[in-house]
Amino acid sequence: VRILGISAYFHDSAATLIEDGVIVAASQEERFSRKKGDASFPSAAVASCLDLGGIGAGDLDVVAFFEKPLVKFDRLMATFRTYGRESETAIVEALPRWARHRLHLQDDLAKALGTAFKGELLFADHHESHAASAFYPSPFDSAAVVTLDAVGEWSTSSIGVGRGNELELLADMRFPHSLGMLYSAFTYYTGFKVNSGEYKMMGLAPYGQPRYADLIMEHLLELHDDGSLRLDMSYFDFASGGSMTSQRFHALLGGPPRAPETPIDQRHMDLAASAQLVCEEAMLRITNHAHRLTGETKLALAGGVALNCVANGRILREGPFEDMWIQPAAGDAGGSLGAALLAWHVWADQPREAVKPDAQSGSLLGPSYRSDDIELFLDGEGARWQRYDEEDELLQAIVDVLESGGIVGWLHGRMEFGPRALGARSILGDPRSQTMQQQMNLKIKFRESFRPFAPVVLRSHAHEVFDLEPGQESPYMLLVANVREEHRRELDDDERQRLEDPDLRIRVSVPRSSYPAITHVDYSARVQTVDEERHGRFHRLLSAFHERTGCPVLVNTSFNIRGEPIVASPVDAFRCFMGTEIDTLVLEDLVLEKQEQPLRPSERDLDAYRSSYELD
Amino acid sequence: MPIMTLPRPTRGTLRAFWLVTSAGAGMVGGLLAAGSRRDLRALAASLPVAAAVAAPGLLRPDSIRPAYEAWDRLAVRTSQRAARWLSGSAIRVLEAADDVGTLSLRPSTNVEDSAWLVRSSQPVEAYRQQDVDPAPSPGDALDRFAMHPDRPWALVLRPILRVLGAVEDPGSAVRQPPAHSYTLY
Repeated sequence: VRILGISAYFHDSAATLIEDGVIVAASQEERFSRKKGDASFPSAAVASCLDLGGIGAGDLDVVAFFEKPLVKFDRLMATFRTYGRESETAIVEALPRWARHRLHLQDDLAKALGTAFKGELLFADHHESHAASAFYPSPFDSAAVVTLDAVGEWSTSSIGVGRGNELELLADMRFPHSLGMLYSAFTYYTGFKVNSGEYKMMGLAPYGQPRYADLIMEHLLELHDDGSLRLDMSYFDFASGGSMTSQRFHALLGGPPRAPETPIDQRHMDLAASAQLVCEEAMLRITNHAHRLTGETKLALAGGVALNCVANGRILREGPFEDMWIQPAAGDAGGSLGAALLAWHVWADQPREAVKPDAQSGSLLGPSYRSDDIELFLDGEGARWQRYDEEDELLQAIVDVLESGGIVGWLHGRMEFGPRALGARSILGDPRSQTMQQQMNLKIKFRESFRPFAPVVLRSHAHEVFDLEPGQESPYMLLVANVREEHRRELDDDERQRLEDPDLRIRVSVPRSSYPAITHVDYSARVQTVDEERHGRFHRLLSAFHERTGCPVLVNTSFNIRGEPIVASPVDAFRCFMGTEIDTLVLEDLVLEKQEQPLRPSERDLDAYRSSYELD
Repeated sequence: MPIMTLPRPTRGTLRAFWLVTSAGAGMVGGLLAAGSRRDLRALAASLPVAAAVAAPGLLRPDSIRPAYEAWDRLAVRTSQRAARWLSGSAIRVLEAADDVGTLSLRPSTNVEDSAWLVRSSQPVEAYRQQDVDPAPSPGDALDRFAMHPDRPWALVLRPILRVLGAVEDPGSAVRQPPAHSYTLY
């Protein structure tokens, strides 16, 4: 039985194909359309999934949509019926898209699949889709399931339990009372983009002190011991669609929101630290309540808030669960996977056996490309390349580049599903370099960032570098761990002074450990562990680097420039390579050196490339 | 997966656009000729005018790309304005049909109580429904939704939504919903 799951129209549209319960393919539309967070019907992602499954639309038995459009529409209308004229502008903007797309899903589906599709069209519930994406691919036979996001139809969070093929939601919180919306409100208030800048605010938090946390708890929300919360809506305007925060919010916290791209001061850092602390506290209470409610010892987590890896680390360390698994595509893209799995296990009542280490296959579920096809493309572009048929030779050549401080663009195997680059579409560098963070930001990302990059580390050596248990893994970059004491550096007086500098770029440039490019000011790092089973050649590259240098860690950042979706195809990767100062590009078995390329883009072309993406 | 890089719009799209434009230009040319000579036979001038306009675009479709893009921008802008106007009208109608401002999204429970509400997963039979109607009747889902006795406003809105859907720019879903109001999408 072949089931296509679809999430669309909200943000991060995606498609997933499963066959007899096994995940065959999954991709986000933005990777193909090259529009970040693309919310349109995922026609290209659907085509990619069908291609990877080797089937046509006529071979599909079921298409499962990740939520119930009419229930959500009811909420839209309830908003207008509550707020009247106050919400008018936002409703007038939203209604045409509902009329054209959301209320006529069948039309978009017919366009993508043609008339060949004769199967069932099913509609899951938004939070049930999230819950299914967390539990079914997890390695657990049974688990408590928690979903946390901004809002689905009406639910904003839910608690449930999964056992075998059964998934039962037990409780939920309803709009507008939402932990995700609270976090997004602070994301907006501190000057970042809602729905994509949340991870920046999380990265800003370690610079601040949570001096506003009590004020937030006292005025903005009622947080109960069971983690449930009620927002005081007089401080927020998001329910009416006017703005995220109200004048009352601004008055309480001492001023208007920071305008994007303006300087960040200590107050913004303290606000970020405060919002982060409140979020962590709420997540800890919610997961504790889920433990009490279900009696389970394992936890499965999904929804956009589950991408908060700092809070995830605390749940694992301080919470009551022995183990937890987080869906790597925890946001709405993962809803396509959850909807498909619900159709299989619940609607079709098919049994489930938990798979170890999990059923997500490293989240490498997108398309891959053959070296022969890449050769044809590169020849057409007039590029100069070298092909390595022996993998070891290729890996040694790349280790040479990394060891000498070069930056490598790496495209290998199937593309990642989810927001993180996990070693299939990554930019790599040596974490021991004191200039790597600045170099990568200025020459490749074209930004001045206050955040360090994320490390990839050999799973077998992760506990030697980070505060992790031996064998403990974080294959999806969803946990934060501290760099171990023995790798931390003693700071001199000058460095301590630089850590007080109002300019965050100066603070982040102070080397805090033997791996300065990946160590945050509080010694934390967003860790991805790499193993042979999931990561294959990428693991062997890291092993070769370790053998040569004794360092089991590399810097891993997403293969893109600021505002651009992560590259999908060799065409995108080549464009990024030529448009930035990446030294070496690896496209499967082919290696390109920047200095050997006969053609260089003009300044005009470079400007056009860099300005073609809206800043995130 | 094969590597494909099709330019957008494709040459086929450009040629189709230019054929229609040429036909329009030919018609205008023929009408002007017939009007100035007061002779309907001059309408035959439409053909050579259309052919003359069509030829360069059909032979070198890339040369008409700027014209296509300008037309596309104009068409999208016009349809957006029309859709916003219609949407505003829908809201006015809704206002008249319903007690707007009387509903409260705030749960009525005491703030001292837990905000967790007991819920269950949807029953298997509800998977075929776009809403949670336990006893669905046959027919279009939106019509069924609009016919529900609890939603008199939906019945009023239904025909306007139909027109609105036809007017709205098909490419609008590509754009990210505005950050401050994305919960409404």
